[in-house]
Formats: sequence, structure tokens, C-alpha cells
Amino acid sequence: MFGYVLRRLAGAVPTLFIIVTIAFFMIRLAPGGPFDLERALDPLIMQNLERAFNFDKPLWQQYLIYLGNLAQGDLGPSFTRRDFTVNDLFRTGLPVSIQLGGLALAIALVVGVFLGALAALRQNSWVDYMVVGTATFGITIPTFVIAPTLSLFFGVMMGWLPAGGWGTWRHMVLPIATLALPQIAIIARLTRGATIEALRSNHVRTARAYGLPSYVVVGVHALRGAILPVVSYLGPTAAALLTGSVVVETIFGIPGIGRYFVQGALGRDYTLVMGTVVVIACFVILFNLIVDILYAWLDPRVRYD
Amino acid sequence: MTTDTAIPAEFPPAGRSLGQDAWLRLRRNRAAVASAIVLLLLAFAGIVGPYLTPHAYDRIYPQYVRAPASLEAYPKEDAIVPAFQRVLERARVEIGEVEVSGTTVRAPVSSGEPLDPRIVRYVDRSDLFSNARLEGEDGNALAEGATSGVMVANVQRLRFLFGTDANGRDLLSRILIGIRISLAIGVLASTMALLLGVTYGAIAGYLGGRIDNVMMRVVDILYSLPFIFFVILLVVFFGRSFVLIFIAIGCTEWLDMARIVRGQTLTIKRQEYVQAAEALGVSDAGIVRRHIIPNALGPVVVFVTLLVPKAILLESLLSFLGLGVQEPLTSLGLLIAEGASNMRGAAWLLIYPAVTLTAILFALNFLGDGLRDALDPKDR
Amino acid sequence: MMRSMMKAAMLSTALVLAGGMAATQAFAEVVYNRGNDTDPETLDHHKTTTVVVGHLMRDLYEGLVIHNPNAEVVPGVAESWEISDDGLTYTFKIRENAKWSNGDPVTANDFVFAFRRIQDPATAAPYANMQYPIENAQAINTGGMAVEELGARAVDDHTLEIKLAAPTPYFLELLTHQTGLPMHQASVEQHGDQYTRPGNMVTNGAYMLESFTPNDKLVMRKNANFHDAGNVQIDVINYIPFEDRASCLRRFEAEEVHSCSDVPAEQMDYMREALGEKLRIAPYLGTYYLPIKTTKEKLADPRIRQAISMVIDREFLATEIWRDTMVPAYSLVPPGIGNYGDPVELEYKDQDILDREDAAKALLEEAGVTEGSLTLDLRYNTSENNKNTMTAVADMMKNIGINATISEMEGTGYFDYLKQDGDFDMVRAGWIGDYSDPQNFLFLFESDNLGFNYPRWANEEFDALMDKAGQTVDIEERAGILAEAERLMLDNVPAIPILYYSSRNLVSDKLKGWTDNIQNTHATRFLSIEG
Repeated sequence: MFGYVLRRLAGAVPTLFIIVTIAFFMIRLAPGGPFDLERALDPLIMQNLERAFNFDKPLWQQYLIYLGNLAQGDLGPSFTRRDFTVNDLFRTGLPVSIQLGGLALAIALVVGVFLGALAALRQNSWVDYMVVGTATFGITIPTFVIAPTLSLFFGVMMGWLPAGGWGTWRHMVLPIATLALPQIAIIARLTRGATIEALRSNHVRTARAYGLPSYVVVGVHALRGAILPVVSYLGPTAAALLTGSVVVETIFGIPGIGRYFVQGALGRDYTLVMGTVVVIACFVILFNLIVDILYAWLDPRVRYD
Repeated sequence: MTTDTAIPAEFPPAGRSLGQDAWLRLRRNRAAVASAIVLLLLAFAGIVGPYLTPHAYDRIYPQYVRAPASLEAYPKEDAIVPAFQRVLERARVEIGEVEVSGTTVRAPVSSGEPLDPRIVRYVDRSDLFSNARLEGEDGNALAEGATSGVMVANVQRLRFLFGTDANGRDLLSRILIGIRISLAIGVLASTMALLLGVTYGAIAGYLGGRIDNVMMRVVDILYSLPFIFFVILLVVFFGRSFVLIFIAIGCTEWLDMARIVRGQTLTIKRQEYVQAAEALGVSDAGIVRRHIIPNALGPVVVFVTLLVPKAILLESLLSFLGLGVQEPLTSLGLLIAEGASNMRGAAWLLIYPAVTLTAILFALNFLGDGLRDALDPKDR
Repeated sequence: MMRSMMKAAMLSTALVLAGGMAATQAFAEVVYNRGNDTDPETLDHHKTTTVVVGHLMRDLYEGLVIHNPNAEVVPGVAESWEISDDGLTYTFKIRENAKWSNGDPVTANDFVFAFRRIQDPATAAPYANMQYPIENAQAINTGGMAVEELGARAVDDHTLEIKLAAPTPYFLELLTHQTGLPMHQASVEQHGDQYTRPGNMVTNGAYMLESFTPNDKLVMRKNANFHDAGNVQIDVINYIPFEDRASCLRRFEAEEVHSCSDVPAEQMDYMREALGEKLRIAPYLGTYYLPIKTTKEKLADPRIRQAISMVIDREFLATEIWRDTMVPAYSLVPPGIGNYGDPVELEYKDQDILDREDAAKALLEEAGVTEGSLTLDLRYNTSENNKNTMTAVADMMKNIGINATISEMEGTGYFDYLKQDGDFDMVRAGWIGDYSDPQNFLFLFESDNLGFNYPRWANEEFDALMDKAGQTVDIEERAGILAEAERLMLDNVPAIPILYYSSRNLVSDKLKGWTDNIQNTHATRFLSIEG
């Protein structure tokens, strides 16, 4: 296993390299640039600007310059937020997104697995229908509906929580709820499905036949197998949650990095988008590795040879 | 001792394939059957509905911007008189008392100068009235140069069962077209994701080792690339088309599916029956096809029912950014987005599309559950 | 040793605590939570073009002249000035007590430095052309002339002389723009690119920069060295970016922000009802218009374009689509603009829409266009209102037998497309005036203005009139020439003006001193908060 982890970590470098290369050229292919605004600029002034940002050099040269900087950990200046480097933006924004996403993930995991297992144990009872019903609802209603509704109700009408902003724990409640709800729904569904299957499996029947108490049967034997698809799902989901949600951050005014994905793309801020690509790539690689390790631990039959 | 050595005609009984078995069991699951019917009805509504409604989904009624949902036809009784007056005011004539009888409205009009016959156009142009005509007081055609007469028109009673949107288009028709687009995108994108993801994930998981590693790294790479740019480039190179949208969405969704299937495969390939099949010399392809995939179907089916809403919402995000479905076409996701911004002023714009989408997803949900139960080979 | 250290620690802690408590009890700071459209792209006012930054600069810096709450030009750093008879030389007297936030006095040199820097090609200033009226500015910015040749010089520390290339009646207006603000030479030269960081940034306005967290807030604190600090009543401003306007509305209602710089138009009815006086919609110096590609054969005949313009029901668009946040427009230059006479308008403004349709059909026939033979593609950049507007316009064109399809383009790609002479039929665009003078609107259609002349309209007579106006000193005479030019433009409609912008703000009733004006300028130094 240790060798496997090492090999995976070593493999991460070429993977990152490929990602950065493809992304770099892909981004440049899109029409328009960071200086195309509603107020079009005089062509001569445009030239001045382009020179200042190295755009007048051939593309492969810009690529090499970027790679060189990246190797030293310098993500470059942001084109749409000129007072900051991309490193600055991530230094302030990433901890916020991680905090928000991490808490939402933890809550979603605990609540989701619990509800899913409960529904599976009481399959086809009213508890089951309630859970499935609420879960489906949670998946259907998009975040851009939940978020303003929560903000409106709890922030404006009731005044119990701030309608937006960031700073105290009270500012975190509504955004975390918005992020967690759909995930609870999905995790509950996945857990329920897998638990139902697991409860019918041979080793669970065996455990029951042994007369083991119910909670041991479920908690140790059934869940262990049932949680596998949840773990698979969690890999990319964790990466997505921890890098921020553009909808939640926009509606609640949270200074995370989620918005940069969309803002950067729409504003053609090449370095910012590359920065987001690098960050998300790191998270994806890391979490997929964690997931694979967890997989092997949970299911001893799995081997990575 | 009996001499009866005849072999009963029915022995051995005909074997049932997995598919046939599943079908039988699915039929017995009432919730699943009900859901399938609901889905078929909705799909039918989406395909045929827009042709059957009295309003075209892109027809604009400037008079009825943001009209609330109502069973009663518009214009409402108490709105006809002032509406007729307003319309005639634009014609700059003196108006007498307006009478409404059935579907006909009449009002005496007069002016200092000979009445211009063209003023009937003001009335016709309004969405409330049609077949406007100027008559003389005696009911016959208006005399040349007359300075007074009677304006008669038919009142067009329009029904907007779900109200109208911010442009004045019938919401019911828009929802029907939205169902068509959303279902199409959801189903097509998820099917693509299913086919691609299952095959890829099963192969990666089964072959294992270095191949698995490389295949999963490819998935990681594709996952990290910025989606929005990908879509922008697709639009730039292939222009905007409907097909493009679901290809773009399918291309993103198959990644998650591949991961899940691969995970399942890793477990399944260690099962005894797989090892038995290997020992029997069944080919790799055969094993993947007949043992791995059917046994992995459980979580796969559940995940597909989660993929369809994701596809629909992803499409609405694209349209939001200007990269998705083109006006005047619309999708349920777009309708919900428009409704969300009108939450306070025109709540029906959010409620009806949201309920429709929820119904579809509920149905998909139960159907998915039923499918999973039906396809579970252990439950015999 | 330990015990004395402990005692010292305890004592200092106690002192800090006591001091802290005293501080908070001694004065309650007046804090203003101000909603802004987005974060600024940069705080270097030579490198920005947006209105968002304009608001910030108005609080951080003070120019030679400023806008008072009624958007009239009044003395700022300059306490008086003289203009030569030929309109080419301006001499400004700088007040003695003007100071930077670090105590340095504001001198004429600070302005010379700033004017030179913005024209320096190395700065790559996108708005350098705003200050081209200054002698040699254009040659320096694009032609390689040395920066020292710029027509701005410091006669002495408190006297600034500016020479212009041509008489420019709106020059004082120009100086209120962010491109005319001074710069603290020492800190810019010392910190280079980093001079805008909190702690490095030195400003001469009513406020100074305290901190800037992207997507969170930008904090400004009252500048104690400001010459009019005694009248500045708000101590701290939190500029909060709101890309989602509905969010600002919610936080405004929750009383977390005191003002919003834009409103969600879809909720207009609700806002009118629930917020009453707090909703401020005022005329704004901007026009929303539809450029038509005049170089295309099917659109080259001005009669066709005029016909299209006639059938557009601007009142419907303003009331139903834009919920009265826009005003119907029948001219390119918005009303209320300075240095202009009576408005020049499309002739059919007061004509009934049905009559206009008849006239339009007649025009089309004259131009040889039969019903149904012309098909146009209407393009717009992604936005709910643009979409609804173009949909309605397409519908209106059907009334005279023109087929119209609409297509959407993503924002950044869209403007690139327009600038690069993309193959469009009809598109939409908007222009907000940089300064209150008709030239700022009419210049959009000069034939050599490739950056903005999307229709690619080339009319020699128009160009000649604009040139002539540029050389005319007498304001009234000049206004007449510009009116002729606008008349020519409206007769040819290379672009169809349909709406005027209005400014939309939400103003809490605790915020006092906010005066609606046509430039939508509301410097915080004139505001106060009660209750």
C-alpha cells in the first residue's frame, strides 16, 4: 500500500503537467481577451496594454514563461484584478472556501449516511418515504433558489441571521445549510441504495444468523460495504465543495474562490483561470488518492496491483 | 411398478434471462409502474403539447405581461370596459358608454372630423379585441364622412392557465416546451454518460494495475479542466446547437459515473463467481459484460437518477451564462431561474416550473429504485 | 525576575484592556456600509475605465475641480482659475492648506506628474484619450514624443498652467473625471506597482485606504489631513461589492447596508411599493442604442434603417420591459447634457405608433423592400433585459414585414466581435457619458473611430462638422454645429437610439445628504448618517 501511495504521488506531477498544458492552450483559444469591455479601447492603447502583459509574445513563449513561474509557485498577476496576484487572491479566498465547504461536507456526510441507512433499514415504511421524498426535493431545488429563499426568510423577514456577508459564525449558518442540503440528499440516496443491497448480501445474512445485535450488523457489516459508492462519489465532490460554490458565494457575498471560476472565465482572466485549474487539479488528485486508499481499507478484497 | 415413462412436456422449464426476469419484477412494483406512466405522460406532453395549446410558446402578448395564473379567461370581466376605453383613447375620439354583451363590445364614438376608418387598427392591434369594425348608429356600414358611429369588436377571451412571463408569453406552453427540452437533454446526456462511464469504469476496474491507473488519471485530468471554457470553445468551433449542449454535459457527467463503476468493479472482480468464470476460461469481455456490469448496476441506476437532475441544472447554468439553449426555446432550468428572480413579484413563474421539475424527478426516482430492485440478481 | 515580568505583563494587559474599553466608549465611529456594483479592477486610477472605480476615487482623491452634490463643477484642490481668451490656456491656483494623507502638501507638481504618467505609453492607460485635449498628449501617448513636452507645467508649487491643443469647453468637466486626479509622486515611485496597497497608498481626498479584501469589502477611513476634514461626517466606509443585485436589496432591507448602487429590475413593482422614497430613479447621462451594420447591402439604404427605427415602440420597452428604469429616447444625446441647446430629436417622436408603421411601410416600399423579403439577425450580449428588449424589437419589426431572428452571445466574446467588424446585422450597445458634453456621444460615429463605430458609418459631412466643432471656441456656436451633426446622424440612423439610462439607487432614510443628479456622483464627504 505504501508503495502504491508513493507511485500515485509521483504520478501526480506528470498529471498536473498535462492538465496545465491542455488548459493553457484551451483557454487561449476562446475568442476575446481580458481587455474587451463594453467600452472598447483605442487600438493603439490596446497595444500598450498587450505589451505590458506579454501578450505580444508568441504563445509558446508565454506558455514557457508561465511554466517557469508555476514551478516556483508563482501563479502570476491577475488580469481582471490588477492590484493582486493570483497567489494573493487564493491566499485570502481559499481558507474561506475550505472552511465553508469542509463544514458542509462533514455535516452532509454524517446526516446523509445516517438518514440513508435509516431509510434502508425501514425500507418502504413512512420513514423511508419521508427520507426519499425530502432527498429528491433536495436534489431538485437548485441552489440558486434555495440560497435567496433562505437569505430572504431568515435574514430579511425573520432577522435571525445575517442576510449575507462574512465574519462571524452566524454568517456561516445559511451558506453551509445551502451547500449541505443537496449533498445530504445525494448521500442519503446513495447510502440507502447501497445499504439495501448490502442487507441482502451473504455476509450480512451470516452475521444476522450468528445472532449479532442489529446495530452491530448494520453499523459494522452492512455499512462498511454500503459506504463504498458514497466514498467514490465523495472524491470529486469534496474537491468541488472545498473550492467553493459560485452561486452560494455570490448570493451570500462570501469572499471565497468559487466565483473566480466563472468570473475568470467570463472575463478571460487567463492567469486566474489557470490558478483555479491548478488548485482544483491538486484537490482532485489528492482526494481521489484518499478515496482509493479508503476503498482498500474498507474492502479488504480490493487490491491495487 | 409403473410403465409410465413419458417425460412431462414441460421439463426442464425454459430459463429466464436477466432482462426478462427484471421486466417481470418491475411490473409488479406499483410505484415504479406509476412513475413510468407519469414520465411517459410528461414526455408525451412535452412532445405533443406545444402543438395542442392555444398559445404558441413564443407568442408575445404585450398586454399581458406578468399576468397571474387563472382559470378564468382574460380579460377578466371588470377589465374589459376600461381596456376598451383605453384603446379608443389612443384613436383620439370621443367615447360614449361601453356595452359588453357576450363576446361583443360596442361603444359609440364621435369626433370633430370625419372618422378615420383606420382607427379600427388600434382595436385590432390590442390582444383583447378582434374583428373591429365601425358601424353607423343604425347597425349598417358607416357612411362616408360621418363624424360619429359605433365601434364594435369581438372580445378575445384568452386563457392563461399558468399565467404569463415577463415578456407576456403563456407559461403553460413554455413549460411544455421546457419539458421537452429538459427531458431530452437530461435523458440524452445521462445516457451518454451512462454508456461512456460504465464501459470505461468497468474496463479500468477489471483490468486493474497500470492500465487502471492511467485510465483514472485521464479521468482526473478531464475533471480538472475548466468546464466553461470547454463549452465556449465548443460553441466557437461548432456554433450553437442543441446537440452541442447535451454532448457538453454528457462529457462532464461520465467522469463521476466512471469513478463509481470502477469502484464497484474493484469489489466485484474479487467475487467467487467472477473467479469461477475466469477459471472456466470466459473471455475478459464476456466477464465484463455478463458478470461485472449487471452486478454493478445497483448504484449505477441510483446514480443515473441523480445524473438527470444534475444535467438539467447544468444546462440551466449554461443558459444563464449565455451558452445554452437559445431564445425563444426554453428549458425547465431556465424557467426556474427566471422564476427565481421574480420570486417576489410573480411567484407563479417559479412555482409551476419547479413543481413540474420536481414531479419529473420524483418519478425518475421511483422508477430508478424499481429498476434497481428489479435488476438485483441476489433478490431471487 | 519572573514575578516582575508577570506583574509587568498583567499591568500592560490591564492597561490595554482599559484603553481599549475607553477607546470604544470615547467615540462611536460613524460607519457607512455602501454597496458598489463590483470590486474595482485596480485602484490605480490611470489603469481603470469603470464607474465602479470612479465612485471609489471620488472618496479617495480630490481633483482640481469636483462635482458638488448637484453635479455642478466647483473648486476642489484648485481654489480659483483663469481661462485665456482663446480658450487654450488654463491657470489654476492651488489652495495652501491642501494636504496628502501623510501630511505632505499638495503641489502643482503632483498634477503634472499624474498627467505625464497617464500619457506615458509604459503606463498603458486605457483612458489616456480622455486627457488628449491637453497639448501634445496624443503625440506622447501614441507617437513617441517625450513626456516632458506635455502642455501641463507647474509655474510654482501652487500654480498650475495647462495648455490645450484646441479650445475645449468641457475641459473643466474632464478634470472631474478620475483621469484628472493627482498622484503622490514619492510613493508611486517608491512602491511602483504596489503603491495601491493599503499602507502604501497616499491620497489627498476625504478618505484614505485602510484595507481591501476581494469579494468581501474595501475599507476607507477619514483622512485627518484633508483640508475640509471638519465637514466630513462619516468616519469609515465599507464598500461592499454586489454582483447580484437582489442580494444587495435583501441586505438593504435587513439594514445591513445603507445604500445600493443598482437594483434588481424584475422586482421593481415590489420595490416601488415597499420602499417608496428609498428607491431613487433619476435621469442619467447614457443612451441605449441599436447599431446597424451600414456596410451591408441590405442595410445600406438609410430609409430601411429609418423604417426600423420608426416601428420601435420605445414607450412599451421602457415601461414593460425595463419597468420604468429606462426612459424612451428619440435622440442620441441625452437631455440635460451641458454645453448644448435644445435637444435634436427624431421627427416622429410624437406621432402615433400606427401612423409610424404606415410611414415605415411606405419607406420600405420606396427603398424597394417587399414584405417578407428582408430577414435580419438581432444579436445581444447575455442579460435578461437585453434578451427581452431584442425579443420585443423583433416582434415589432414583424409588423412591417421584416423577419427577425435573435441570437445571444456571451459578454466578452460579444464586444470583441463588435470591435473586430463582426458580421452582424443589428446589435445593441450602451454608452454612458464620461463628461457632460455632446461631443462625448457624437464622436462614437466618426468614421475613424474604429473602436466604437460599430456600424462602420462613414459620412464625410458628419466628420467635417465634428472637426469644425472641435475648433470652435464660442460655446453657443459650437452647440449649433454639434446639433447639425446630430441632425445628420438621426436622419441616417446608423444606430437607432431607443432608451436613455437612469441611475438606480437604494438609499436608506438614515443616510442624509444624497442628492440625485445626472452624473450619479455622490461623494461620501457630503453625506452623513443619523440614527
